[in-house]
Amino acid sequence: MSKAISGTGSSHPAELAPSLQSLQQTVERLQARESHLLNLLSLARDAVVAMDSHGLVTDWNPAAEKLLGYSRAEALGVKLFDLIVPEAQRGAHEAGLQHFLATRQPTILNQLIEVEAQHRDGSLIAVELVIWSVPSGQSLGFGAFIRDISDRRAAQEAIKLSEDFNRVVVEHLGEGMSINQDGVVLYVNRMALQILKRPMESVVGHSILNWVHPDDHAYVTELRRQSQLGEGIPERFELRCLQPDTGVRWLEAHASTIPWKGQTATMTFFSDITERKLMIDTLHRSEERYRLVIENVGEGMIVLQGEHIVFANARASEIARISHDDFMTVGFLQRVHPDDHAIVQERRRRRLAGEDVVSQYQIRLQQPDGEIQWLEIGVTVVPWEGNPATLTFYSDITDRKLLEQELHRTSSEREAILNSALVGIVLSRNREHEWVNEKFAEMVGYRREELMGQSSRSLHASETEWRAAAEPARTALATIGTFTVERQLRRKNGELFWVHQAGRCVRPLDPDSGVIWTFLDITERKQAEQEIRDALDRQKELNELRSRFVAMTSHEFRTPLATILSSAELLKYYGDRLPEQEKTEVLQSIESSVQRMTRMLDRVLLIGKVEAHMLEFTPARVDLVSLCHGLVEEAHTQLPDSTCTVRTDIADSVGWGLYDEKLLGHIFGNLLSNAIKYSPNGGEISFRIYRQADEMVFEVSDQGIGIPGDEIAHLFESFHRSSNVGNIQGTGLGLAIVKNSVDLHGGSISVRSELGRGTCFRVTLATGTLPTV
Amino acid sequence: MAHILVIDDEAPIRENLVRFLALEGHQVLQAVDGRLGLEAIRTHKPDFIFCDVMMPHLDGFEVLAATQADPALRGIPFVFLSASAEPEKLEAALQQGATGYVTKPFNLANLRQLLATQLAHLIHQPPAL
Repeated sequence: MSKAISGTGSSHPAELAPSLQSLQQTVERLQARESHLLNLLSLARDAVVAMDSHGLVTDWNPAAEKLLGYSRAEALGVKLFDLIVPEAQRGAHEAGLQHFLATRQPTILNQLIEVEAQHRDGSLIAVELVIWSVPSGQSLGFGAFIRDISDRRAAQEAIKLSEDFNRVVVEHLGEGMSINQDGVVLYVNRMALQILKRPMESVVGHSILNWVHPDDHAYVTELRRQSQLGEGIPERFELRCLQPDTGVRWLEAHASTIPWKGQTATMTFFSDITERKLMIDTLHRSEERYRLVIENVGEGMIVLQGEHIVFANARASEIARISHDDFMTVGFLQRVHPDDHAIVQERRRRRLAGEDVVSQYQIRLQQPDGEIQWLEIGVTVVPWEGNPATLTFYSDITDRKLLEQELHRTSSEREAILNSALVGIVLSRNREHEWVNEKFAEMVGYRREELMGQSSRSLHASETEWRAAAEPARTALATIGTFTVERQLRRKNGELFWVHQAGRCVRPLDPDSGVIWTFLDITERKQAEQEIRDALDRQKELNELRSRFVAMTSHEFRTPLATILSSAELLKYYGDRLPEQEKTEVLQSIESSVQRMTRMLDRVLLIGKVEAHMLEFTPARVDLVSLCHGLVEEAHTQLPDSTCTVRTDIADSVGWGLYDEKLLGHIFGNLLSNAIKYSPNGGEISFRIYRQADEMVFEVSDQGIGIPGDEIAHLFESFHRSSNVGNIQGTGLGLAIVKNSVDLHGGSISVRSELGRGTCFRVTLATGTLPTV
Repeated sequence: MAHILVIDDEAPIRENLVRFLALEGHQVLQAVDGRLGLEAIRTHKPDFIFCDVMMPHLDGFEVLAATQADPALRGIPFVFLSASAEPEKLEAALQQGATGYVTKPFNLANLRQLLATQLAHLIHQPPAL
């Protein structure tokens, strides 16, 4: 017995070192992966939280510390939901988690949701949350990304608020108001419709010429032309409109330009001045009859002759907030705003001097309490007590002025804010972009004008996706009021990129009122996410490989050890009762088991060398023909139970060459024994060697179980074994050794395989021509 | 004396077990893989079964499952001999109805003790080793 063992005693304990080194390298590689992963987590802009199956925090990155106020030490081991879910909603969250654990039916899993999170200091933060499950062994863990969206939420609120505010004010204005673009009415308020005596649908969306008196069409067209050329138009003008039944009405209009959904629009305020017109007209004919009327008219009226006020109605002093007596001596001059004083004086002087002076203008009064009052003033010359006099009529337009300023300010501000926003913003109606901001246009690579008024179709990844996107968005907007999604959009250049898209209706729960969308380019985040997932997968894979290797080595050592121990015990306890022939067999089984263990150990040592790049390449004269025949025989002896036949086909041109005999042994020994091993139902194995041009080609093909196509990429990795090997034993090291040995020869190896039909390995080496001896 | 079936695809181990059991005075049957093992169980209804886990065609757990599914065979003591020493496998084996789980390399003295307990009704007194 001792003789048999000493024959295989090459595995001195000192040689275990490279094997340990190989394991050590695997461990180091795993550690490197892990630190890469940790690095990714610590650099992530989003809070990234890992949890175990009970929702207890197991990891908490710096972004989470910053966003939620809890340090890593405080968060670890605590339920995420206890940390960040506001008290009132905890029950619902817990129920959702329990439901998932019980049924594995995802509720919010892998979906992007907008919720409020509670900061350590108690304040609520609007966040967007995605939770995914991570299977780890038998149990389940969770990961979460949390992103602060309070800025975006605030911007949306602000837009809505200013929209609502303006709408309310405009609707209750005492004057008519309309917004026109290119001569088409985009918007009118209630008062405007009353003045025009027309229903909304016959005004909005139609040309203004529809209701302008035909005699004034040329005038209006001219005004539009001047405005388009940027020449400026009179602040105030009069025009006639046609009411459907009662005929012609005079309007006094006041126009200015405002930015409206990315383009310039004209905002016009107007009031009906037909009565006043009529009155002035009549004054020219008979002054006395209408004094009474003037006295009671809604506008302030003053009649000046020379420098004297000869008449002022009650409304005149009332508007200026001066007593009637004071008013009769100085008029409202004392109240004129210091900045407008000079203009008023100047006009008065020029008018008295008989010069032609603008007859309609606006001035400010400043009341003793500092309040600013806007007056709109009209001046005309009328006969008064037989002599010419100037009639000044005015009204208080402070409300209108303030609104106008506010509208200018907010719409310009909003335009500016929205355009400089870092998120893409789109106002859409019926899936058409009514308005988009600069950022959005930049994101998708179009100009803003190209997008506005266009369907959102061309921005989607495909027509099908565009159609499919409608239903879920509409349902969510109509029921819960918001909708968020992560999807890919297509840029003008065809490139796809990831966005996070969030929508909110202009009027709550009414998608038809328009939807304000925000878009965030999340391509980078998606990439980081993918990298994290890949790193996790890779780590899992390495862990599996490692445990498979441990299981495999343990199995491969225990089997021959069982033979050795049982043989030893048989000889020890039953030696005297065993026939001589059987004793010999038992001794031989010890010997072959030791050889098997030695082979096994050699492989582990070899792969250690391979991984450490310590495999030596020592070419020498090799007779390929006899080497290959020898390897075929050896493979047969190693697997004596196989029913395979091996056909060796060596071309005549094959002979001696310069190769490393040991490495060739690794290459073809492994390929041949694999071919036999993985052909459990027998079949023919062919070993062909032939010369092709300057190369030597070796082909080993079998009719065995084959290799799944998607696993071929991993075939030559250490410890990798195909998923279809079943109970066929192996270490997952052979092909890694083969690959390395081929590489050392400067050759190449390729594989063709069909599942269930067989595999063919083709090794190409240089001919290894001998120098002429 | 008992009828004992040994199922193991590793020839040297199987042969040593057969030798040992024969020397212990038992009548021994052997099978070289799971499928043949199951056939032998059905044909011969042995008193005791030693079965390897990782084998071609049918593995040890599949043999056990088939045996447990047959009321006529369910009562036969079934002991695994396995080269994988993972505790989960042991637990799974016992849960599925195995009588025992012996890890390779095994001690003949222990196997003898195990047989003595399981086959008390068939063997009166184990002779000293």
